[in-house]
Order: sequence, then C-alpha cells, then structure tokens
Amino acid sequence: MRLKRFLLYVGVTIMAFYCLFPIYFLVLDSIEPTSVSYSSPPILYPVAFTFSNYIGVFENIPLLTYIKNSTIVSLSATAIVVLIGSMAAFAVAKIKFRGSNPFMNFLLILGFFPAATMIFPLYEMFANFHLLNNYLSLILPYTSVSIPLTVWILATYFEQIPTALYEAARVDGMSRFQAFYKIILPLGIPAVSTVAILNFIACWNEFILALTFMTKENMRTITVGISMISGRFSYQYPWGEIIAGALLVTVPLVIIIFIAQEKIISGLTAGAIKG
Amino acid sequence: MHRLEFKKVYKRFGEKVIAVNNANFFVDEGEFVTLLGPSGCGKTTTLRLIAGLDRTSEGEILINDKIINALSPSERDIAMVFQSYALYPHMNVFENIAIPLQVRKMSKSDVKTRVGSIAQMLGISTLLDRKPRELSGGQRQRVAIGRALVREPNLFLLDEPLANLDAILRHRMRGELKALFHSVDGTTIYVTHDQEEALAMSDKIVVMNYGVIQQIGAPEEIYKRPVNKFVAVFVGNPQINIIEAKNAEDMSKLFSSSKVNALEKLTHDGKVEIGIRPENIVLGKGNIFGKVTLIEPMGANLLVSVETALNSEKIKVKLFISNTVKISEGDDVNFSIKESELLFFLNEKRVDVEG
Ligand SMILES: Nc1ncnc2c1ncn2[C@@H]1O[C@H](COP(=O)(O)OP(=O)(O)O)[C@@H](O)[C@H]1O
Ligand SMILES: [Mg+2]
Repeated sequence: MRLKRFLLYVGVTIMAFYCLFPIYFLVLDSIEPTSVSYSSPPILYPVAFTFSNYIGVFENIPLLTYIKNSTIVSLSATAIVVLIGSMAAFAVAKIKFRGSNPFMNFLLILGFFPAATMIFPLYEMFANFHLLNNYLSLILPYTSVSIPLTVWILATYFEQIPTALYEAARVDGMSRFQAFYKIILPLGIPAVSTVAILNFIACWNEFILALTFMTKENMRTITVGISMISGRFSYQYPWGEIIAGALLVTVPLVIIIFIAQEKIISGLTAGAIKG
Repeated sequence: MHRLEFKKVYKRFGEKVIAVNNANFFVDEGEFVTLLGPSGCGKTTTLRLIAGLDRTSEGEILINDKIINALSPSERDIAMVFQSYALYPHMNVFENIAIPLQVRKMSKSDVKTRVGSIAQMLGISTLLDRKPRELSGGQRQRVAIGRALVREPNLFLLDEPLANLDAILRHRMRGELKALFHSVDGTTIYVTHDQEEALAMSDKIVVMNYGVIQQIGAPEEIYKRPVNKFVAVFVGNPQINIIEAKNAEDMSKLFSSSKVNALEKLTHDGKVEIGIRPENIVLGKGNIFGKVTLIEPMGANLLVSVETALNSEKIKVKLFISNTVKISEGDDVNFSIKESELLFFLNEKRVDVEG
C-alpha cells in the first residue's frame, strides 16, 4: 500500500514536471535579457532580471486593444453557442420531437467538416457583405463550428437528467421554456460550464480565421497580435517580447477560468442530479 | 370539484404493445379512485394520459365534460405525485413546494403562508431549508405530496407513492394519505399494485390486467363479487383458494345437493372452478375431512393449509384460525365451507349459482 502510494507520487511529480517545465522556461525567458536566454547551453535558473520584454510588448503592440477584441469575440461566440446549444440539446434530450435522431446524426456530420475549408468561401462572402474587420466575421464562424458538437455533448448530459423532473415541471404548470431554464439548465450547469469554458478557450486561441478576416491593426485578436510582434531589425526575432506577451494574456485567462469553474461548479451544482 | 371520464381510450406503443385497451371509466367529484393491477398492466400509462404526458392513440378524456385530449400538461391543471417523487434536486424543500404557486404568479407573501400551512399539515416545517438529497425516503414523499397539495388542481394523481417506503411507514401513510385527500376534498386517482392498499384506501377500485379494465367497483364489491378469476385471485391476502371440480361427485363432497344440481345445469360437463376465501372455511365442524400440512403463524391468526381428497384428486386449501387453537402439522381435521360465500368460475368468468 505504502509503496503504491509512493509510486503514485513519483509518477505525479514526473508528470507535473513534464507539463510545467516549459512554462517555467517561458517565464524565465520573459524576464531575462535576450542575450541570456540565447546562451548555449541554456541556463535553467535565473541569472539576470529585466522588465524590458514586458515594457517592450506594450510599446510594440496595442495589447489592450487586442485583448478587448479577443474578449468581445470570444465572449459573444461563447454566449451564443451556449444559448443555442443548450436549448437545442434540451429539445433533443427531453422534448423528443419527431426526427431528433436524424437531426443528431446530421449535427455529427457537420462536426466533421474541417474549418479550414471554409476560409476562402467565407472570405468571399464576408467581403461581399462588408463584414471583414467586423467582429461578426469571427463570431459567426466560431459559433457555427462549435454548435454541433456542443449540442451533442449537452444532449448526452441532459439525457441523464431524469425525464420525470421535466415532466413534473410541466405538470406543475411550467411551459417548456420554463422547465428548461428553471429545471434542466440549472441541473446541467456542470456540462454547460465546461462546454462554455472550452469554447471560450478555443475562440481565444483561434488563429487562422482571425488572421484572415481581421486585417486592420485595431481589429486584430490577441493571438494574431502577439505573433505579429517584430523586432527593430528584420533579422532580429524578439522572442523575449513574444513570450512576455503570451504570458501576459494567458496567465490572467487561466486564473479567471479557474475561478469561474470553481464558483460555477461548487455554487450551482449544490443539488447534483441524484436526489 | 372535478370529474374525470375516459371514453374508449386506447394507448399503443408501436405495433405490439397496447398499454391501455379500450378504457372506459368515470371518476366523480371528490372520489378517491384506485387503479389496481400487476406491474406492467398500464396503470402508469393511464395516469400519464390523464396528466397529458402521453397522448391517447384513440378515444377521449374529459374533465368536467370537456374533452382535454389536446391540452398540454401545464394547461390541464392537474397535480401529480411521481413514483420517483421527481423532486427538483437543486431546490430546497420550500422552493420545491412553492414552485407550482410561483409559476402561477401568486404573490410572495401568499406563497409563504400557503407553503407554511402545507408544511405544517405534513409535519415537515423544520425541513424547509433542506435539499431533497438531505431527506429520508418518507420525508421526500411528504415533500412530493406537499407539492401536489399546495394548489387546488382539477385532479390529484398519485403513482405508487408508498411503494418506496418501508413496511411500517407504508402502513402508517396509508391511513394518513386517505385522510389527507379526503380532507382537501380533492378528486384523486391513486395507482398501486398492492391490493391491500387499494382495499384500505379507495372509494372505488378499477382493476386492470394487460391494459384491459377487468372490474370497476367499491372495495367490498371487488372483494366479494369479483367478475372473474383474475380479480378474485389478485385481490385478497392470503389468496383465495381455487378448487377445480371435475364432476358432480367432486362437488357433492364440498357442498349441498341443490347447489350441485344448479351447477350441473350451468356447466354441462360438470367442470367448474370454485373460489373459497380462507376466512370462509370453518375448522372443527363439518363433514369434509383432511390433514394439516402446514401452519403459518400470522400474528393473531394461524394460516393453516389442509389437504383433503375429492373423488378424482387431492386438493389443498388454506384457512384461518385463531392462534389460541391448539393444532399441529399432521393433525387430522374436519371443516365446513360457508356455502353462501362461494364463488364459481366458468371459463375464468364468475357465474351466479342458485340454490
Ligand atoms: N414509452 C413506452 N414505450 C413502449 N412501451 C411502453 C412505454 N411505456 C410503457 N410501456 C409498456 O406499456 C405497458 C404498461 O406500462 P405501465 O403503464 O408503466 O405499467 P404499470 O404502471 O401498470 O406497471 C408495459 O408493457 C410497458 O412495457
Ligand atoms: Mg407504474
């Protein structure tokens, strides 16, 4: 028993090291002068300290504008996906309308289409509708790509919520929609919040569509923006600043998501499904 | 107060299953009616049709003479206690009971008073802050009943509300429920597979089997004058004794010649099944002789199995005696049958026999 436990800890430590070391190295690089981080062999502990990379990020790019753009796009897309996805999943799982099985299969097929194939048709379309450099040019494709899988995941979860609860709600006098938002949605929060967080991260990190459809500097999202940091001279690639930029936008995001998850899951699932 | 009527109602699931097969019945204002039958006979389906959770395949359901087939569950204004109770797990007891009032836009203070008085009545006032998972089975059941009682619906529907409780609680709640639903004067449709429960609680019993209504009647009628063998066997604990008489000699062993004559006219071939309730057999006097094969103590009474021989074969009957009587297995005994209480079945159907 003891040995097992010991081995478990060793395993966990190795895994943690494997995952966290690159992040440690990123942090290290971001606070050292470029001369130090380029040294060979690499130095694995801090030797010098500078804020210049962080200051450089703010001087080099409109970081706050990028963050604002990313936030607007990711939040809107996530909100729409969760709203439409959860209502569709509810309909499939609890109302059992005629043709819900073909509908689900159709959604699954939609999910197989690689988003990359949509870039050029979408570009044409958005150009025609004057939607390039408009938040909608990202919000629309992000939502349509995410909704099918979201419906699948949520429908599977909603199926597990006893149908008697939905029926009790209807008998108690609730409309379908009331039964959805008063009963099924609160009980589905663990799945809904997970889907929301994953969606948000996916939108936040999306690169290709954001690069293609947002061509004006002040409309760029953070992922694209950071990749566009360039050095003073064309041969110089400012790794330190890129890394600092990546950390600046990632760390707060991670913290926010952790807090959100903690709050949502502990707060709203107090009554879990098992009565 | 409200009446319910079923007119030629069918419910099919797919091609093969007919869960409700031509149901016709009437529930009067304030009546407590029980749907009784073995598991799978279509009781829950019948309730779900009333509540609007399933749609009829054919036929009409009427409340106060108005056809309600097309109404959604929320429009029917019916309260239902589900077999699983179906309490909302994310709401506390107060919210669970209050929600039917809240969706009807009752004022906050009225909701509070109403829920308070219902909780008082059901003895769950101290539990109002708890979540369903923090309650015992009996407490959950009370909350489910509270949620139904809190408003004044057209009908109360209860689907085996006592099935998940332990025996002691089940017996106590039986009386309590009956009193409760009588006191609110609500028209109630109660579902159970437990014939004792049905006999104890109902104004009227609807006995079902394989989706077909077998008999509708008051508990005493169901018990004393079952329309067929199924009802006779299903209702009554311990079960009714069924004896198959193959000919007139068999019969003459059991009862008087006038009855035998009357029966012979009815049966032609002399084959008849005779139902005798255990309490209608009197031990110690009479001219039927047999041997005690088994004694089962049932508290105040002993349930005694006696083997006796008709002309063609041996039969076994069960009967009651007081536990003060000295008797043991293997004893030779004699007994008689209360002839007026005998039931006769031809091809499963009960027939009246003169004489
Ligand atoms: N949704 C359904 N689909 C198919 N068959 C069903 C469905 N609901 C009930 N049945 C069938 O209908 C019959 C009656 O079921 P039910 O009303 O639940 O019986 P009870 O409540 O008397 O035990 C059973 O044979 C059952 O298998
Ligand atoms: Mg049932």
